[in-house]
Amino acid sequence: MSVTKKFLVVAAVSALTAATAAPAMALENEFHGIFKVRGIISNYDDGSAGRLIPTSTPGAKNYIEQRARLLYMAKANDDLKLVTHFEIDSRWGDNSYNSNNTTRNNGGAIGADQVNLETKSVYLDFNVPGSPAPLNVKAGIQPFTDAYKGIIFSNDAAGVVATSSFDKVSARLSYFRFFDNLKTDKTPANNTNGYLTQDFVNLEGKYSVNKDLKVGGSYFLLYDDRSRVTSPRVNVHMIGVNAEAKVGPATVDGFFIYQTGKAGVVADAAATSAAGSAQPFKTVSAFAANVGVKAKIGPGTARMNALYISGDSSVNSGSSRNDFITINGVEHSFYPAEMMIMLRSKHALNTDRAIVYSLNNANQGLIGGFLGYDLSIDKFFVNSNLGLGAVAKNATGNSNDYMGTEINTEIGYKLFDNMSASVQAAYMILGGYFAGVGAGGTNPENPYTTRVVLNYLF
Amino acid sequence: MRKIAVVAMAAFMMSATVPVLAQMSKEEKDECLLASKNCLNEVDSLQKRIKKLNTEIKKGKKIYSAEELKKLNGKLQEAEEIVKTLEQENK
Repeated sequence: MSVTKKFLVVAAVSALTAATAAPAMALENEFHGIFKVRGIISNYDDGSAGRLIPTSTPGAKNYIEQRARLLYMAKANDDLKLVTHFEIDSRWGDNSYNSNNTTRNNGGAIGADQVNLETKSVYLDFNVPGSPAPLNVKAGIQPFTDAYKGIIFSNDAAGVVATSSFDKVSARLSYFRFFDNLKTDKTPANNTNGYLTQDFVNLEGKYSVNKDLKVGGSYFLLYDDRSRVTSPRVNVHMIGVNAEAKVGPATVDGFFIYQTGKAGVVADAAATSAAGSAQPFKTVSAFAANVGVKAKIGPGTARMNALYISGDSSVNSGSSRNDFITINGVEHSFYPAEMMIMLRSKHALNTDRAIVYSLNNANQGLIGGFLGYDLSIDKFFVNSNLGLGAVAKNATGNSNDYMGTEINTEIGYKLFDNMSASVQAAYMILGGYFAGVGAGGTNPENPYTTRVVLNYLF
Repeated sequence: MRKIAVVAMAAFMMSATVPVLAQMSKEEKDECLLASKNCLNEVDSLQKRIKKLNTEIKKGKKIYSAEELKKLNGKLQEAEEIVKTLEQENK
């Protein structure tokens, strides 16, 4: 073979080898997200969030809102990544060109061009190398859900969460700094980091007894110094147990959680005077309990949840309180009930109204029973739910504790594997608890909502 | 000269060929899911990834070691957590 031919053969083989060599692992950029747009006709949904107080003549509202969430992960390898999560919300026709001086939940008016990007998460997620047992750490602003179906804390916050598992045991230790008040418009004015703070600690443990039974135990601490200059520290300790078991064709789960500690201020003048100049705190003794069952019945899945949240009919008197303390009122939910009106809905976007917006329920607590059935046939899906709710302790003085009955349904079709179109409807028959609360002592109108939703998840 | 041109073109074509991955058989590991190897230049949607992971996990210990199955289950949990995070309609 001549020199030229040998050269060409070597060149060809080199080119082939170089082209088919496996690429060296570099940073992996992963994008995911969700987009939802929904049109709403309702007599209570109004584009805002908060407690729904039924009225006699609410009027019918109609509007369209949308939400995009974009999640970007920078993965160095399977053990190290940065996770970021952003959100853009608008109601069609609300504002544009920053005309209302706000920077979130706007930008749907003509021209758009609104500064409205929200940051939900920015955190580092890594597995500690060389750890004797697998140890994962997440540090930064991150999503968190407790092991009690979200009734304690289920939202985004800045903190560090360490999770480890070995054999049948897993444990999670979490710390969050919810608030560190520095602004001079807070009372009192404060310029010292770490002085007026609200902190949250959670220790979780789970044990797999066998393949059908898992049990867990938890400790939570809510520690609030934000009002320390005028009031004592809020210190709420929570101890909980939870379990999940497969019983025949069904999965049964549930929890019990007890709260103790100090929260709120004694309003009783004599007690205040007896304590000297400092207002004494109320002693907390409250609890929540739940049982849930899920089973395949027929072509679909049936669900049941029962929930008890303790209440107090006279929280402003005495030196103790029995209402379940919720974190800042809104950073929790009970989505397994699958309600749209009675409790906060998992479908909520900017519109997030509910009769029982906070499970504390104006200190009254809740007794709730919820049934549901989910069915998927080919590309169609139907989810239907029934909920019954009453206050645990009536603080209004009326004799009827029953808040009402909700029925809701969602019927949808998967246009693509990751895109669906659906129709949702919910109606609540208000109970005797709301009798005569309308204008002039009339009964309020039963709340309803109807929605058409497009949903794309990728 | 013609022979040189043919050899050079063949070398060029072979280097430009996009490697075609063989269809994953029931008896093979999915190295892309397991160790991010031999992935095409695209990322699966979450639904597709969850479907693929469930398919691979079902292959069980015939194809994967206990450690690899644990890894796949971990990735399945991660994907399901991402779906929950995106869909969770907290404020």
